[in-house]
Order: sequence, then C-alpha cells, then structure tokens
Amino acid sequence: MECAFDAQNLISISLRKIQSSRTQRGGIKLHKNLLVTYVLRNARQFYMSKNSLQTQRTPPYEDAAAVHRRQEYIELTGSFTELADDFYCNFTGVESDTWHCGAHQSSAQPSELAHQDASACAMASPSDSELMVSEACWSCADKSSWELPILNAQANQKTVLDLDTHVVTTVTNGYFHSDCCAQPKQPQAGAQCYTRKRKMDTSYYIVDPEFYLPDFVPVPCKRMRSEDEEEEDDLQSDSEQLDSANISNLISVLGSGGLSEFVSWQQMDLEQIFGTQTICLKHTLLAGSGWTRAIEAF
Amino acid sequence: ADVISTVEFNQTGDLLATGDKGGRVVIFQRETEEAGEVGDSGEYNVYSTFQSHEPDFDYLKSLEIEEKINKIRWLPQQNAAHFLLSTNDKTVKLWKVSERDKRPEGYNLKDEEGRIKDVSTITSLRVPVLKPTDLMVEVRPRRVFANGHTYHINSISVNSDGETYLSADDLRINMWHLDITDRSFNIVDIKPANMEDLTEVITAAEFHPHHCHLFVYSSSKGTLRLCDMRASALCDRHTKLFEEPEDPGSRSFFSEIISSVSDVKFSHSGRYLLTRDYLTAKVWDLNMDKGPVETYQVHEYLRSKLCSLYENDCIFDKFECVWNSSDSVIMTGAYNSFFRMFDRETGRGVTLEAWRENSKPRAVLRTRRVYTGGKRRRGDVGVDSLDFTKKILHMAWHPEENIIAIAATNNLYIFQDRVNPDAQTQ
Repeated sequence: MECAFDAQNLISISLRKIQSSRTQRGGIKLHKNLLVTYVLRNARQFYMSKNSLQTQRTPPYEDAAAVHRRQEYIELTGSFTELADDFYCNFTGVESDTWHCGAHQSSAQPSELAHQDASACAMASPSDSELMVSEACWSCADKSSWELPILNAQANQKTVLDLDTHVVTTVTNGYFHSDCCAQPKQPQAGAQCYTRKRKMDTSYYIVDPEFYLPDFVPVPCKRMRSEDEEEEDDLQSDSEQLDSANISNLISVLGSGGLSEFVSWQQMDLEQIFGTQTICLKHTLLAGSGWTRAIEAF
Repeated sequence: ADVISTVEFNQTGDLLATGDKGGRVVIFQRETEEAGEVGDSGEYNVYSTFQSHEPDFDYLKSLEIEEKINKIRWLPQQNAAHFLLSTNDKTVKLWKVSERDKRPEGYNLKDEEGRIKDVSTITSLRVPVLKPTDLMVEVRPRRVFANGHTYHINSISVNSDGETYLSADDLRINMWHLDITDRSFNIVDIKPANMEDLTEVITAAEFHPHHCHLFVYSSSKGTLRLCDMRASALCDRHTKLFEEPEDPGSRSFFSEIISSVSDVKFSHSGRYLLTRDYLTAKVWDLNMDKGPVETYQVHEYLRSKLCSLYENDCIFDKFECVWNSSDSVIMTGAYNSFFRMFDRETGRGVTLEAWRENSKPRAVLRTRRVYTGGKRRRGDVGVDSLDFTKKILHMAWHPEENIIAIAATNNLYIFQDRVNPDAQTQ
C-alpha cells in the first residue's frame, strides 16, 4: 500500500511539473518533459500492477465485470498521448482507490473498453491508430465542453462543471457524457460504467513548437536550410498542426482547476490512507532505505 | 553578478570566458608571468565584458527566448584578434575580441574630440599619425547565426577544420560554415514523424578533436552515437553506438532520468569519450562500444534520495565534465559546492570544495568527504546536510596546465596546482 501511495505521489508531482513547465520562461523544455513522462509511466505501471494484485483479492460481491475491467490495463509504450490520456481520466468515487481509467485499447482488446459514450470515439475500432482516435475525439471536442469531475463525497456521484457553458450537473453511476456527440449511450443498469476516455494529445503541452513552423521533409542528402525556404514553409500546413480552439480548451482544462482538482483528489485520498507527513519510498525494486521530509529543508 | 552558465578556456589558456544567465560574457586574461618568477603563474583578471544576447520573443509561437548563454566556444587563433562563439537557446553569435592600443590623431577635418572643424580655419594639410593610447578591448559581433533551430540549443562545437562548427538542439544537429549565416546543413535529425513517438532527445554533441569528419552526440537514453560525415550527408544512422546495458536490479522510477547523459567530451587524444549522467562519470573507448571502460561514482549516496531530488528538480541538473590536458584526470561537479576529480590511473577520487568562506587566496584546498557510513571523521558532511542549491555544474580545465575554473552559482573560482603546475608531471 505504501508503494502505491508513493506512486500516486509521484504521479501528482509529475503532473504538476508538466503543468508548471507550460508557464516557464523560455518555453517548454522538451528534454525535461520527456523525462517527467517516463517517471509518470513508471509510476503508473507500478501503481497498476499493485492494484491488479489487490483486485485479485477483492471480496466476491464486487462486480465481476468491474474487476475484469480493472485487470485490463495495458502496458504503456511511453507515448505522450497514452500517458496524458490516462491521467486525465475520470474516477468514480472515494471508496475506490483504484483508477478506473479507460485503458488504452490494445489490439487484443476489442470492444469492451472505455470508449462508450461519444459515438465518434466509440466507433473508432481498436485497430485504428491512436492518431485516428485522437482525431475523432478532437472533432468531438471541437464542439464539446471539457467536463471535469469534481469529487463528490457521495459514492458513485460526481458533480461536473461544463467549462464552456458553465453549467453544473450531477451525474451518477459514473456516467459521464459529452454533449457534443450524437447518441450518448445509456449506462448499463447496475454496472459501473467506464466513461469515455478523453484522449488528449499531449503534444500540445509536451511540445511541438514546430506545429507552427512545419518541418522539412527529410531528403537523402545534406539539407540546406535557407531563410527563403523557411518563409515558404510557414505557409504550408503541418501534419501536427491543430485547431487553436482545441488548444485553448486544453489550456482551460489544465489551467482552471482540472489539474488542481485532480491533485486535490490525490491529497484527500492520501490523507485518508496516511495521517502522517512521512513519505517512505519502499519500492520493491529499490534498495534504498526510508527517508523523511526533512530533506525538504534544502 | 548573475549565475554563471558556461565556462571555457581558449586554446592557449590565456583567456577564460564565462557566460551567465543574463546574456553577458566576461572574459578573463591571464597576467603575463614576471620574468624570473618561475612556477608562479599569473592571475586571471577581467579583460572584457559585453552583452552577448538579449531577451527575445518569438511572436509566432508566443514564446520568450531566454538570454542565458548556454555555451561558449573559442575559435583557434589565426591573427591578433580572438574569436568566440556564444549561444543562447536559439541563436549562435560569433564575436571578435581585439585590442586597440593606438589611435589616429591629426585629422584634417575633425578636431581631437571628433567635432567637424570649420573649413575656413584649416590652413594646411597634415597626415594623421597613430599614437599610443590606453589599451582598449573591443568586442564586436561578426556573425549572427539565427533561425537554425526550433528546439533549444544545448551544444556548439568548433570543427578541427577551422571553418565549420556544429550546433545541436534537442532533436537536430546543424553544421554551419563560420562565414555563412543564412544557411546551415542539417546533419542529424531524430525528430519522429509523429511527436507522440518521441522517446529520446539529443543532450550534447561534439566534434572529434582531430578528425573533421567525426562527431559524437549523446542522448537522454544514455547512449552515445559516433557519426562519420563521410558515410552519408544525413547522419541519422550512426557509425557506432555506445551503450551500456541497464542493470535490471537497479531499476527504479527514475532510471530513465539518471541515465540521461548531460555532457560528453572527447579526450585530447581523441581516443576516449567522457560522459556524465546524474550519478556517474564514465570513460568510453572509441574502439569499444559495448560499455564504458571506466565508471566513476560521483555521488552514489544520492541514489536513495532520488524521490526528493525529483521533487525539488535537482535530478534534472546537468553536470558538465572535463579532462585534464594529459587525459589522466577527469573532473566533474556535485552539490554543496563540491567537485570531484578522479585519477584514471589509480581510480581514486577526491572531493574538493569551491566555497569562498573556506578558502582564502593561495590557501590549499583540503579534501572533503561525504559521510555515508562507517567511522565518521571530523569535517565529514552528512548526506542530509548537503546544500542542493549550491551546485557545481560548469567548469573548465586549462588546456596545458593544471589550472581549473569552477563556476559556483554566481562566483568563479580559479584553482591552480602549485605542486604540479604542468599536467605532464602528474
């Protein structure tokens, strides 16, 4: 349990770093953000593996389907999209300290995963590339609201704030919908539904400065970059160029409480588990001994 | 004084340039030795100061461009003037540093203050003559190499051909000709077609000291790639890949971070490579790519503190490493104003401290120790007492003598080995 706690802590710290890097002077540091995502991935992998062990010991009354879903966590390949995706997902209540994140679809997992609501996303087949799914979700997000789950003390109930319309709604049973997409599916009765995984292209904030300045097509000879060429390319479109409206939506998610809500959920959960300020990193893979917050004095 | 961000001796060691976070470059010059005082090397005094880079703004991307000087590299001297390259995140500049100790006097149309004379007062013509004057050091920008990089420049390296240099950012390496500013050749590009597939970035790059066709670049994954420009114009495929297999037993949350190479330097001989990652310094033989031939633990006691170092961002610190002139000693920085030297022949390391209160001028540096267990000696510093804000990231070693320049935040320390002033005798 302690190790899972540490992984959670690392996850929240990492997300905070990514968030703060966006306002750093000099622009986003690609190298640092890349390393932070590796930590995120490692922490998540550890956390998930810990939880999957725990769920194997869950009491029999728990919904078999939910247990099955929790076990369907896909290994991350380290791509930015996957990482950001998982950490901006929904969570379904205080009583569960597991992440009911919509895991990434792997080629082996056909349909029973998180893309249930937004029809555009749900219709993306598992064999589709992530980019395609991303595009589908983006066309969705173009008209949609970004909805942030705000933790509600009541189990299975969330208060959702629509950032575009500023409408507050309360949803139950983990059902979480986007009002842009055509036919939102009805939640299955009695089951904890996994809501639509909001697929975010983290290249927004991890970076591609070049989405304004398209790259040169690689040619098998020494490339000469002249100032004339650069001016021409400014006018061409880039495969990575994205709708600025989507960017502003993402920024509002990160800036107006999305991340802090997430982090505050972390804190609440952690305080319930540990009443102390001591953090002990007893990762099974680490040989180091415990250390205390005293190091913060530096 | 601002935080020093780079230190570099020129090829003779007479000049020492420092760059800081405010975009300023300060050049120190070694005082000429007094005749007869053998072994008493001159001190370094300020020679010139100039503003190299100013804060800039990319309007297209709404990004501020820091003026911090990331690297300075001197060009080989070809005439009386000195040339150096300085770079911030986006732009490389070539500066000419020249001395003037004469000025022309006796103009016909201007008076001594430069005011135009009344023509009617001129009754005769004279030839202006050069008269000695106080020494003036002039620094002028001669070239500006702009718009070559989309990502942040982390390295520049002058080629041994004396005509070209490379600049490296996170994903690309460009080669420039020193006389041509509107074009550069892209020689390495590791940007994936889909940025989501990005797994590593370039962290440092350097030309071989003797072979103008060879260069090396390090990555955030801990690998080194030696590239030969004769093989192909685009060196995306390396000639040699230097990689050490990861020890599965030491895997942690931070394995990727601590394996990222922060600096790479060729030895003066050109046979070895010196790399620095977060906890170690490694020497590689160009003839062996399976792993380093020597590994030096710089501050292994930090391995159990990685989580807090991650929290306070110290784990992202990029330490530099340097060779001495004979390639027998390597040096790198640490925390608490400590820096470490390792003798390659014996494998032994020594910890020294660059801290004003503890060292008076001409005082001998005493070795320090970090207490990690066992018998505690007087003067040992506990790991929990280390000051992580005092970090030695940048340093330089004189190309011929045992003189080192250590940048400690906004202070520059210059130490000399008076016992063995010449590297050859070590």
